Amino acid sequence: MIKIQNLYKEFTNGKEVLTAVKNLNLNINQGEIFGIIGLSGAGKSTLIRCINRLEEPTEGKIIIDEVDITDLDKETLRITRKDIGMIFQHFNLLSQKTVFDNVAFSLNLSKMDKKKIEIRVDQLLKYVGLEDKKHSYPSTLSGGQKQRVAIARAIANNPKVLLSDEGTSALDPQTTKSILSLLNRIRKEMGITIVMITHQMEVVKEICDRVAIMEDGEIVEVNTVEDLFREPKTKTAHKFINSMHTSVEEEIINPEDFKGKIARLSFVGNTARDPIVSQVIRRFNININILSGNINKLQTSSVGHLIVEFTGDEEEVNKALAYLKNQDVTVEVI
Amino acid sequence: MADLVIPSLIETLYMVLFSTIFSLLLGFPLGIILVVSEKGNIWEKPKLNQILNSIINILRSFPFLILMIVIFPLSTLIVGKSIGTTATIVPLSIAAAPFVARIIESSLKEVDKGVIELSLSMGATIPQIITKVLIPEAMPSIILGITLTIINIIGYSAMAGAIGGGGLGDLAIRYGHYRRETDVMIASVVIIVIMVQSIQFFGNTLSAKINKK
Repeated sequence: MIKIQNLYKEFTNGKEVLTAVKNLNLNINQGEIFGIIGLSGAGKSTLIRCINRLEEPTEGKIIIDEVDITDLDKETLRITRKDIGMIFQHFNLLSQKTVFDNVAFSLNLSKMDKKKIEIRVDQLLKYVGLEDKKHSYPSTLSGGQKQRVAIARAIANNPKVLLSDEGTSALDPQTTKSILSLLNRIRKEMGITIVMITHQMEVVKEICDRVAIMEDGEIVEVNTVEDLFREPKTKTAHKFINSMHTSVEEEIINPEDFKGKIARLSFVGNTARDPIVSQVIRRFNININILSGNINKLQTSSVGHLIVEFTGDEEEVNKALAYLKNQDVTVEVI
Repeated sequence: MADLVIPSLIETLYMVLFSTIFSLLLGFPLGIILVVSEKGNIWEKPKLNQILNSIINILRSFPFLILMIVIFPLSTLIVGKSIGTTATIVPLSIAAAPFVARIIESSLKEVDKGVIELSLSMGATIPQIITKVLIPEAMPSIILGITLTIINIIGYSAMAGAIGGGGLGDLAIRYGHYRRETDVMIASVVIIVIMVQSIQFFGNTLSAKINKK
């Protein structure tokens, strides 16, 4: 759906050249929710703004639905942008217009018939659950409501792609969840491909299918969210996962403090639900002491982590580890 | 005294009304161009922007009385004479236009960059961004700016009175000052004060009323 090839974006400030995006390649599939995570300054915001050319790429190609965006003249680009919705961290609602007029904005730009606009906007407001706010002004809405208005506005033209530039970063965790589930519903029911920029692992965990990790203008890892949580390939990915409060305890465990073998077990999908630990204890003559653990619920499945201590006969412990590996559990001896 | 003051008041109102209209017609588009042609804005034209900025600065640095005299020939060309209430509208409009341009410029610059970016992302054309986003979003501030403009023009029109423009300023100088008719002087000044007060009040109220932010 979206192909990014050898993308470069440089900013020149006097003599200084800052490369915000370096030789970046990425393929995003039709209908997927693709997350791009990185710390601030990693270039993720520049990257997403290159996708609809709010930022002009210095070099490289961006192909959306077979159309090379980087090749379009201004007028064609303007029309093509109607197929790419976008939401922002600070919502960017028109403060002097009602909720209705905000949602109708893109339809008005396309000079749609007034009656049709009315029908479409009512339908959209109902979809995002704000029928009763039709005549309110943005200043009277909460952050979550504002983002719902912005989402309704972004999808009014039935775009193929929805870009979210830190769309939930200004919201509290509860509201973030409700906005994410709205986005997920939009993806499911309308088949819109969603690209989201975020610095919050919670967001990725909640709705993304795949994720790219960005650092210093480059993508250092592209992974499914499941695999990222089970077996992150890069240090940066590790850091992001650890940044989620749930796994802080892992850092404290020092293997030398224990007599037995310490291992980190990761369970994905169904294995997260099976009573594997008790099976292992029954099957082999060993003891398992659970030191820490957590389960992360993802978009399609869940990933569980356990840090455990194996005590008992060395051979039995090794057999147990082999058995666990056979059961699709990722075992990492610490 | 009323037969002195009322015709003068009407002259002042006439001068201020038309000067405001013409200065807005001249200054408003200039202000818009100043904003959109700026570097990094939606219709980037740095050269044009620079030239307009210089012209506006030069016009604004002219003392009004000098400008009025310089413009006499233009007034003659447009209205057929260089003295009188109608003739004064020409220099008043030209003096106020660069002021209006700056006022509009600063109002439009207050508009959140985010909504302009949003409009671009939705495929809005430049005229659409100006008419559907920039101006409506800046409207409360524009109204305050226009209020300020009208008050400024009232001030200028009083000065114009001194060199044959008519109106309350003229009355205050000719009767109040030269003939030492203090009551006429006081009446003229009081009327001007009331005009300024009520226009400011009306402008503030209107701006607050339409502002939904």
